[in-house]
Amino acid sequence: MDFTPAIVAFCCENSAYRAADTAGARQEGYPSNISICRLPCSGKLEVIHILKAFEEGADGVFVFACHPDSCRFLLGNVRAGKRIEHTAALLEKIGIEKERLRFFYLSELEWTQFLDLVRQGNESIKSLGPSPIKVKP
Amino acid sequence: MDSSPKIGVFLCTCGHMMNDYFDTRALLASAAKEPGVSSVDEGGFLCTKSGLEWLKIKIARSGCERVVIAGCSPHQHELKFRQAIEEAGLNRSLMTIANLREGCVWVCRDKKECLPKAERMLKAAIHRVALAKPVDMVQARMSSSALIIGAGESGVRIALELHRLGIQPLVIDSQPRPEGEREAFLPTPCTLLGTGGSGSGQDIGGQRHDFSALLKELSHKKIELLTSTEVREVAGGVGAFRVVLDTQGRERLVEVGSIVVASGSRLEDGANLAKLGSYSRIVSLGRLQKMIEAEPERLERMMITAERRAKHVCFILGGPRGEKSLLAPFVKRASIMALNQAILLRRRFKAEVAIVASDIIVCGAGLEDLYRLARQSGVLFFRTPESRPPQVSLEKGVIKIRVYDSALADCIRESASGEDDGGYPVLIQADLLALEDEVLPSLGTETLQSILRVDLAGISSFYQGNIHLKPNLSNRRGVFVVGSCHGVEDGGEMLSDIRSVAMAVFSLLSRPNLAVEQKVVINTDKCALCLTCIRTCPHRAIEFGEVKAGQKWGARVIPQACQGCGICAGECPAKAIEMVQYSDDQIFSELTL
Amino acid sequence: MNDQDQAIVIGGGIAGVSSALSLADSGCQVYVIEKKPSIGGHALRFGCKATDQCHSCGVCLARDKIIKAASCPNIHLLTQAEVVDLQESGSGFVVTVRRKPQFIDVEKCTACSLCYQRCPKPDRAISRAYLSPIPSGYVINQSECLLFQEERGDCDLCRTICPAGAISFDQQEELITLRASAVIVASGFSAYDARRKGHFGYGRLRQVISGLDLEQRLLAGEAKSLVPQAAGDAPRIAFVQCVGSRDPHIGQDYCSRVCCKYAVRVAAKLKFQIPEAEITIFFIDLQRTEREFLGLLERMSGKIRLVKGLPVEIEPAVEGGDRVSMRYENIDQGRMERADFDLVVLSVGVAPSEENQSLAQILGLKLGSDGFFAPLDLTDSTITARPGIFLAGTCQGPKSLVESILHGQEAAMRALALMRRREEVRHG
Repeated sequence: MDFTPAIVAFCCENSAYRAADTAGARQEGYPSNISICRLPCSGKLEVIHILKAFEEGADGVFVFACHPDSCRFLLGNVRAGKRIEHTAALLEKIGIEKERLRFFYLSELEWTQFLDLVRQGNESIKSLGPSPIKVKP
Repeated sequence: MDSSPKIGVFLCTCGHMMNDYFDTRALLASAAKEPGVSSVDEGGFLCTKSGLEWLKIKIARSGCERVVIAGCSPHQHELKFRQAIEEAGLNRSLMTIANLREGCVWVCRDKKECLPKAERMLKAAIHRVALAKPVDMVQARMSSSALIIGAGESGVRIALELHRLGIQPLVIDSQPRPEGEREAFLPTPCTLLGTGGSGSGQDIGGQRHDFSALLKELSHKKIELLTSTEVREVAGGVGAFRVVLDTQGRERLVEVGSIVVASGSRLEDGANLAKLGSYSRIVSLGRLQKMIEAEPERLERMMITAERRAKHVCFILGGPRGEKSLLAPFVKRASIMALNQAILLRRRFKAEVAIVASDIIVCGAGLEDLYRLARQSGVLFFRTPESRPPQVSLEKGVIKIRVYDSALADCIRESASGEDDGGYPVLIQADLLALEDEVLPSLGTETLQSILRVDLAGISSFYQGNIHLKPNLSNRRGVFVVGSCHGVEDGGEMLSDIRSVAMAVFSLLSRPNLAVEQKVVINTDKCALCLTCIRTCPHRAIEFGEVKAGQKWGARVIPQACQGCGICAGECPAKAIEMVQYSDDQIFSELTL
Repeated sequence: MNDQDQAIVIGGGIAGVSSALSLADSGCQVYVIEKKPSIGGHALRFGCKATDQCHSCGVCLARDKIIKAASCPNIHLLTQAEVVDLQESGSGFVVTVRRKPQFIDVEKCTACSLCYQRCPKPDRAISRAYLSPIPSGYVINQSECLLFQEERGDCDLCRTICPAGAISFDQQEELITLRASAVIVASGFSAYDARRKGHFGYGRLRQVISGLDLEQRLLAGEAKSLVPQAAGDAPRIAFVQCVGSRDPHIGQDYCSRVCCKYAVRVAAKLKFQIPEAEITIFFIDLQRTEREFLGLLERMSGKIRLVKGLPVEIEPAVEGGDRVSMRYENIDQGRMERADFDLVVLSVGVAPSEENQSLAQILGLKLGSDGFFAPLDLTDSTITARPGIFLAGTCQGPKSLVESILHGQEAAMRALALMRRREEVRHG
């Protein structure tokens, strides 16, 4: 059976959210199973938000932050990066592959990169199969 | 539950474009089944004037208390919609936009995917808006005054410009008397071009008065200047900074709307000269400039000998051994200084002047002309390859500079066989050698930064690496940097810098009151006073103090300084901080898949 | 500030927008007159140059300002408009503006893209000028539109299908009269036309493009596809600096200030996207004036080849298939060399706009010998000989994005100071 993963993409509203908008407006199409969650800054993203996404049945979580030195709030992106590292370690401990959590730098103009990243990301999550949380023992 | 707020869902089909993708009635029917939804409706052009009117009427008629708009991206018309629901009597934050256009119908390759995705997105938006809390508007008082730190040329000039715009400046300096040298001889390309060779740094085309005239103007305009004064403490935020000043032990509290740092820079000649051993005929550009401006006799002694023959002067830019060090970033500044001084020495003393450099920076107003003028005056230029820097040695009181010139190598290639890589050798003998100085922030800059709580980064201490703070902003709203303390390299640029900062200060403070959203709230009952938020807030918008008059102490947000990034809410270990429009529950509500 | 204070900004590029925002924030009513259908000028045509980190090109900074200006209540945008007359009146000016018919009502257009999709012209007479223009709607290009053509002058398909009823062909050109206490000229620049350097083959050789072309491809996300991606053969890319700058022979005897920076940034971006690419930059001098640019240069050393010396000619390669062959002078080596490239980027400089002459005439201003608007003083470059008219941005001389933003603020400050002085005189 063809498996369609559920993916949550946390996007900073200053960069990746705009990039996703542009990608949409260009009508190039990207996997519709990616749900975008808008954040004021990637620095707002907390560990619990990512864990909750997995708990709610996400097979993958992508986090998009602004490039280093271009965060409108200085170091929000760096903070996000550190939290992702920490969360990845937590996921490993509870038996979720850390590859299900991906972190990318993206600017508002890089809409083609956004398309590439979500398409490739979708494929890689697909190859991982459903999240272990969803698979009943 | 009866008390749950009534939600109105309004679908904007973008000129019925969305009807091509899915059955809008089916979407609204499924939305109507969600808890709390009291009315659903569909319109074609919500973003147009008539559409917004339609929306307002619908909100009033249906009596809904919260609104979901399903249409295009929030980046398109969010502001308009928020304004409209405010006009309809609802709080501006009680609205959520479901981005069905850019986020769904234009994304799905297969039209069959559209409806389920749209349903999911709309459902998430309905859940999100059900949890929305109203945002409070706060009136922030903006005091139309500014504190200027540093009474150098840039500080005094910006005080005068601000005064012209109607802002009350207060200038302070840590030194006992105002220092014209704070800008450490910022050279201008016009220094010579305007005056035909006096080169005194004064009265260039009537624009650069000398420093004392600036000070006179300051006192004439009754602008307060406090010397021997330092900043001890800065509290509050933009519009209402509370600054404690210390004048030789006497403390004074002032309240200002804005703070402008004009602490300047200094030149350090030690590093370069030390490498060659001290010798009175090897000087730095800064030292030479001082002689030109203030010690004409000394300069004459150096330049005129008993035989009255022309002296040989050599300038080396970029360090005597071509090391890449702190010097390199200021090569433009050194270029302008050396070109100015070379022309002057050539004209005044008929000296033989050579400039040795691997790079001369000529990008800037009048610089190409200055360079050409130097060439026409007979100044010789030697361009050294970066791989082969000049070698300086002292032999019996004569300074010898060995240079490998890459341009000459090309011309004399046939005769210079064997010199394959890196230039043709030239020996320059000089009576006077001038080297580049090191440009450093003024003494005390580091302390000042820690008191102001603005970030230390990069080479020049107030320099900001982040593009969104470029070029004069600091991480703290209302604190600006101006002049050579953030790396400005020439006088013309500095004047430009001053005027644009004056503009920025004025447009920030021009209104006496500013309505701002209280984007973040701190639950004082949960606050454990750990100060994490105060440390992590990038904009220094959180301070520690009395939360209610005479009551509990805790962290509190300065609303006009807060820029709503939510970093504090993400960091707070006690979860005492919540973003009004991005609460945890709201984010969770979007994660239902 | 007096509520009646009005200012006119000529040009909706980043300098004009920066001026307008500063004035509007201070309580002025500002009219921005833009000859194109959307504001933003060159700044919105540039791509992001971040690799694994931001390289401070300032494009996003400029975009933020432009978006803010478009929704600012004190700023009134007059697009497809130009100044035709300026007269002094009292202490201010009366300015006459000619506005071309808009055909698509910005207020009504929802940017649903239906008209664009259905336009029967194969290359479409309806377009968005570029990626996410501001204002966001579509524009009808009169010279392309079938309605205005001889042979098929009755197509009004878009008007009939527009669901918002935003299209109307009844509109006529109109003349608008505005009063203003101050006028800020921010008419911008033209990129140097690389065709004028025939020996570089721009316009003849497919492999030779200009820096501006590359920026546009970057914005469209197509930069990678500019070079062949054949396995085993690394693509070779050359950047040629000072094309149309620092060249007395063509009368453009100044440094354009931006080319070194954009070339190295874009080179870094290409190297990041295509790691195996071999990139060479040919230059006279690297005008390294920004500190983060120095940092970038240092990071790129070893990854990008820097050659001091400019090419003499570029021609199709004799062998090597699809490449072009470049003969160039290597100054450090002191000899002529030859190399083949898949892509040659000409770093075109900032040239004065062709319309400067006519605009200067209307405004009663002088141009400098270089063709830019001449300021009264080099160290106070926003002031003109005519009190009340100020210069902002690249119409006065080459500037980077950040510098243009600053210059715009500077001009606004001068304009405000003038208005304040006049007000003080009025009130004694």
